[in-house]
Amino acid sequence: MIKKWLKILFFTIFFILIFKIAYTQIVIFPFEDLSKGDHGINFEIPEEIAQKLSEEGFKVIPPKEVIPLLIKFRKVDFYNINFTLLREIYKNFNAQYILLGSIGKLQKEPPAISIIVKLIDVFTGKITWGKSVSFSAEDFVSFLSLKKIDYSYMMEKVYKTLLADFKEPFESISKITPTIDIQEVVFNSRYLQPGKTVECIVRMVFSGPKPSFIGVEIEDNIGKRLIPLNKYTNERSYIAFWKAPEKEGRYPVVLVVTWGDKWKITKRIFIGRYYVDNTPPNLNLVIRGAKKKKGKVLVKDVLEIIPKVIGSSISKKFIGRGNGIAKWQIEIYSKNENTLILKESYPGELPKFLTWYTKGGMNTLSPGDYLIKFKVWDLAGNQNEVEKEVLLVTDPPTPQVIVYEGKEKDFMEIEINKNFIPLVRVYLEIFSKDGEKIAEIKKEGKPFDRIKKEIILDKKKIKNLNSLYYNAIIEDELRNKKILRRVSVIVKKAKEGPIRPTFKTWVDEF
Amino acid sequence: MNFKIIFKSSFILVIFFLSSCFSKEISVVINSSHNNFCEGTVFTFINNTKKFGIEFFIKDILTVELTKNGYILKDPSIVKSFFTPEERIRYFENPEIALSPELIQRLGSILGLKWIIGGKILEAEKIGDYVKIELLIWVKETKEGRLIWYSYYERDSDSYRTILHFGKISDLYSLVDKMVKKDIIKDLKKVLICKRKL
Repeated sequence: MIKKWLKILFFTIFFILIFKIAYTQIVIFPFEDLSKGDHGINFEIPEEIAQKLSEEGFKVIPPKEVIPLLIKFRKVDFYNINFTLLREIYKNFNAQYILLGSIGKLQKEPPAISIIVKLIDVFTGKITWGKSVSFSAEDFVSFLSLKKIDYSYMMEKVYKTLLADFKEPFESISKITPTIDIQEVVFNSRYLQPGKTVECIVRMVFSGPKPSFIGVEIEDNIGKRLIPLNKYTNERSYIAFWKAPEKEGRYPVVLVVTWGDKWKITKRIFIGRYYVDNTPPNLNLVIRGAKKKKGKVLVKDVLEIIPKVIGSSISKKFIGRGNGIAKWQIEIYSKNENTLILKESYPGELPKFLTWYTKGGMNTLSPGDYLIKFKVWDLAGNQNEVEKEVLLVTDPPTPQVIVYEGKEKDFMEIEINKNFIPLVRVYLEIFSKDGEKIAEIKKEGKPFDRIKKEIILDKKKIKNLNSLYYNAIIEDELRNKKILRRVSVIVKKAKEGPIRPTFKTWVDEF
Repeated sequence: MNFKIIFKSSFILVIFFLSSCFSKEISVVINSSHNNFCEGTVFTFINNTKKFGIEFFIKDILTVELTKNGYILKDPSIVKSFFTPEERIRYFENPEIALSPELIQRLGSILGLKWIIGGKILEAEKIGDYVKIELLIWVKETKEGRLIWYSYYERDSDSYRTILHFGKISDLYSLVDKMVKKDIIKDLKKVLICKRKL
């Protein structure tokens, strides 16, 4: 009986020893050194810690031996870990823990350091032990500064403090499950119209045995189903296709990986979602600074178009989630000349505004009616178009100043014809050859449509009618302004017979 | 009798106001149905200052100190490896918005996390021997992805000074180390109640 118990005890101790030898290795990563800026690395301190731990009897893998594996896994930093890397660490080094470290400050003169180390369990990713040490010059101030502290003394103290309560927790390990690291997920488009094909490419790395099934789980009108992922361009990329459902909405995609045989594990990882959208974008076109008059949209010298997409009741849920505009197009037609004067299309989001300086250089537009057509396509390929007619008015009318030469009397007729845009200001002065002001017309304030005035001229004073000229400032309601300087007055022979009745005051007909 | 009551009430009021004046942080606790907050993670703080690296240091020191206090922490890089590639980009571009309640819930259910700690460094300065740090720290539970606690801390060189110049801190990292060990952990332990035997 005693022999039997002794045998059991012997085998238990033997297995514990074997187990310890096989699994209790600690891999020490190079430390992150924040004092050297972004991606700063420190090898000296972790190497020294590795040395000290092995002196204490721990089985350690120093940083330099880990680097080839980290390079193989294309790790640019040595402090961001994932389960695939942890599994590979276990597989390659038979290690149960990894020791990560971060240095916040490291200074030799005066000596100062801030360091944190943490021990991570490769099976669970949990932090099982950690320690932080922060020493600055003040911490070494001795009585009357009798003892001078140098960097090596400080570092010895750092190692002693760091490893004072270092403990290596031992837990029973049954098995370490296979892992998967998703590196990239690409959809042909996140936004699709119903019935279109969804293409999903997943780039991933496995650690452990090959899975017996790799696929994506989707849910649509047919129900929940699994679509297998097939090898794509290289051994890391896999592709799956399926038809987008009829109903609008957002649909999650879950990666499903199964390991059969002895493992019998299925891992389900959410990898993204796609949107089914059948609603054309609700487009609105605003002409900035335009005035509406008698059913027409009036524009002066600058044509400023602001296209905007507004969410409708159905597509509202997509707005702000990224279902933006994939392409837009603008067309401008001259209705007077019946020609297309501009057609431009661009990929990407809508512009905040579009401006056309109609009076500038090559882009000059003649006044008249124009038709603006604006088209948009959203990311799912739904299209919408809006039209807007505008009347371009770039100039107020030119006044007509005519002098009728009669036998007895000369009279002058000044007329500004009825304009589509009412006028708000008219200032007109008529001068003789010597620069003497003969007549003046001034009106501003409430919008008015027309001006007509007749003035009888003194024949004795004005002998040469051909030398008369006028200056004028005319402004319409759109603030289009016309300034005329030294414009010759038109001279006509008055018809025979009694002269037409004259108006002592100027008459507004409207 | 009335005089006694008035005297007592005014004494309590005076004590209350005095304690408010001396308080260096504002803490807000939002009640949560969870009370077994043992497992969690600490995300890198958002750094609104020009002092690079302090955000990683705060995250690491909080992680280590919480582990020492018996909490089970997953390394944040492992937690982030469960982000979808799209979420990774969104988190890189705007960590405040990217950490949605939906994502927090998912991380909680996959990794068994009960809470996530994060925060923002509002100010970190060092002028000669004078150092100062201001930060916001928050805790979100993973059941619904809600915020359950947040607090504001402001500490400087003299915050931990005892007599004469003893305890005066002239280094930002040492100040963070002291602040986490002496104050933040103490406050977090009041919020993260873990029933597990430590």
